[in-house]
Parts: sequence; structure tokens; C-alpha cells
Amino acid sequence: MAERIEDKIKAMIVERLFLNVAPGDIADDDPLMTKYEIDSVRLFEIVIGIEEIFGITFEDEEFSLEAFETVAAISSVVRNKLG
Amino acid sequence: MRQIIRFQSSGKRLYGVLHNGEQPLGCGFVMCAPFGEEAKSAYRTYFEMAEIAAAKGWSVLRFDYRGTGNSEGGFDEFSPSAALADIRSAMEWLRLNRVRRVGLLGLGLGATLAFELAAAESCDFMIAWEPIVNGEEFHKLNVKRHLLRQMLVRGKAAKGSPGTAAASGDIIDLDGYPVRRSTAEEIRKLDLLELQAPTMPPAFILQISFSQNLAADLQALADSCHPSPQTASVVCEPFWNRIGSVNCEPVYEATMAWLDKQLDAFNRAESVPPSS
Repeated sequence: MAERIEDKIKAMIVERLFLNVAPGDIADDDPLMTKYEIDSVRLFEIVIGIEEIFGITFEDEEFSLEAFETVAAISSVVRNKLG
Repeated sequence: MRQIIRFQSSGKRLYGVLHNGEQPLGCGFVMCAPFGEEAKSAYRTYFEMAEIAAAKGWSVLRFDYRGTGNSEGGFDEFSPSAALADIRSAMEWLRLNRVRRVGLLGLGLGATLAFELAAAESCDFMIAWEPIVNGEEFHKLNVKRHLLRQMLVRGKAAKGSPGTAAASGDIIDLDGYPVRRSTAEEIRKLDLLELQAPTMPPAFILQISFSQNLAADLQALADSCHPSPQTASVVCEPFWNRIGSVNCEPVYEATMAWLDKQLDAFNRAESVPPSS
């Protein structure tokens, strides 16, 4: 079975941000910024990671807080971009 | 032992700190700082690396490029070419102060400059931590950083960011720093893969990231050089892109292991009698 987009994103976040949690412990609707203390530089890592994993590029107007609030929100953006 | 020094570079008085051990080896290196925020975040790591190497006898010179830190000049005077001139002056200072073998260690843009200089001029060795292989890619990352900061402050990034074609005037914003448009263009044009099979002194490329697998661009860079630099990767948080402290022990260990081997090579070369 193909890995869910959400699961790929969680694994990437844990790996790139050196978080001491298992990817499965992150809920799809966890508020990433507050729960995992994600600041601007860590958010930058997430953006780069998403672009690398899914082969997409975020356009200027796609940088909005709602788009990066939760794994579910990020997944939605990724799905839209992947078509 | 640490000593604050001042030296001249193209009419500018630059600030540096020399780290020396009790028994200097006569070998040393200049530490080339990265750009902007990365230099601030890497400051402590540079200090610790210098102290560790000095304790083993290496003479290590940390310094501020013109227009940055405690050195003379405005930030708009910073450019890659001016920084290269400053690195040359720092190397010359070490040579004039009884350091026989002088190398370079850089991170990010500092590693890129060290690489360019080592490929073109007299340099005994070079260590590149996460060099920027392609300036255009680096520029794009800086634009993204800017957009993310806008997003966090305003909730949404504005289309057309400073540093892109939408910006006007000679001074533009690059990662929060006012630089001349010509400086931004100079950074964008940096491309280590275009150095045309450079002949390198002994060199070490260190990847510092979440992954042990060497990135394709770093492998391509190593493959493009003659002789090919040694490469390694350590799993460590990107300390130059973090707020707060990061344990950089893996970086220090990998770097000192390579320097130890380099010192052995220097000693072997000096113990060989000249052929008649």
C-alpha cells in the first residue's frame, strides 16, 4: 500500500527537525507551530523538505500561515499541487 | 590563548581573533564566515572549533569581513569579491606571523569562497563545511526565507519579494540584509561546478545534515576536482540555521580527524630529504 502523504510529511518533519517523537505520534491536526515549537528557521526546513520529497515548488502567494498550520493543511496543499 | 588582532585589507582595517595553542605547530587556518544570519548562528561553533584546534597546536584566525562584525566599512561594502580579498589578507597575516602552512575552513558562502580561493591560489589545505555549490540555488533559498518571515509576521507573503525582479533601487534585501544589487548578482553567479576541474590542495568536504547520504551536488563537486577532496557526512542539526545552541561535537570530531591526518602528511613531507 502506498504511503500516505501525511505520513511522508510527518517522517520528514521528525527527521529534519531532529524531534524526539515518533512520526506516528504527530496527529494530522496537531498545531505544528505551538506544539512542536516550530519557528521560522524550522519552518524553512519543512518547506525545503516538502519541495524535495514531492518535487514541487511553492509560489510566493502560497506562503500563508493556514497552509502550514497542521500536517493535514500541508497535505492538502501538496495534493492540490500534485493534481 | 586568544589574541585580538587588526589587519589591513584593501584600505580597510579588519578585526580578527587569533587562537593559538601553547605549542604552535606552525600550521594554521583562516575561518571564513558564512553570510548574514548564518554567520550569527554559526558564531559559537566557529569559536569552539577554533579553541579545539588551537588546543592541538593549530593557529586559527577568525575574522570579520569588511562591513561585518567589528571590521571597518558599511554592510553594503560586503561582496564575494571583497570577501575573497579579505580572506587573502587574513592568510597573509598568518604567514607573516610564522605560520608556515596556511589553510582555509569555511561554512556555507564562506566555504564557497574558500573553495574558489583554494582552487586558484596558494593554499595548503581547505575544509568546506556545507559549501554552497550553486549561487542561484542559494539565492532562491534566501528568497524563500524572506517569504516565510513575511508569512509569520503578516500571515501571508506578498507576491514579488525583495531580492527578486520586483525590488527596485541599488540596495536590495537579501535574507534581511541590505546588499548592493551587484553583490546579490555576484552571489547568484557563484558556481563551484564551473571551476573547470580545479587542481585542489588537500581538501575535505563535510556535509552536515539529517542524512548520512552525501547530497548529489556535493558528490558532483568532489568528483569535479583534481585530486578529489575527501568527503564525509555527519548527522547534526544545521547550526547555522538554528535559533539556540546545537551540539556540534560530530562536526568537530570529523574536522579534527581530517586535520590530524593532514598534519601527519605535512610531517612526512618535511621529513623526506630533498633528492640530489
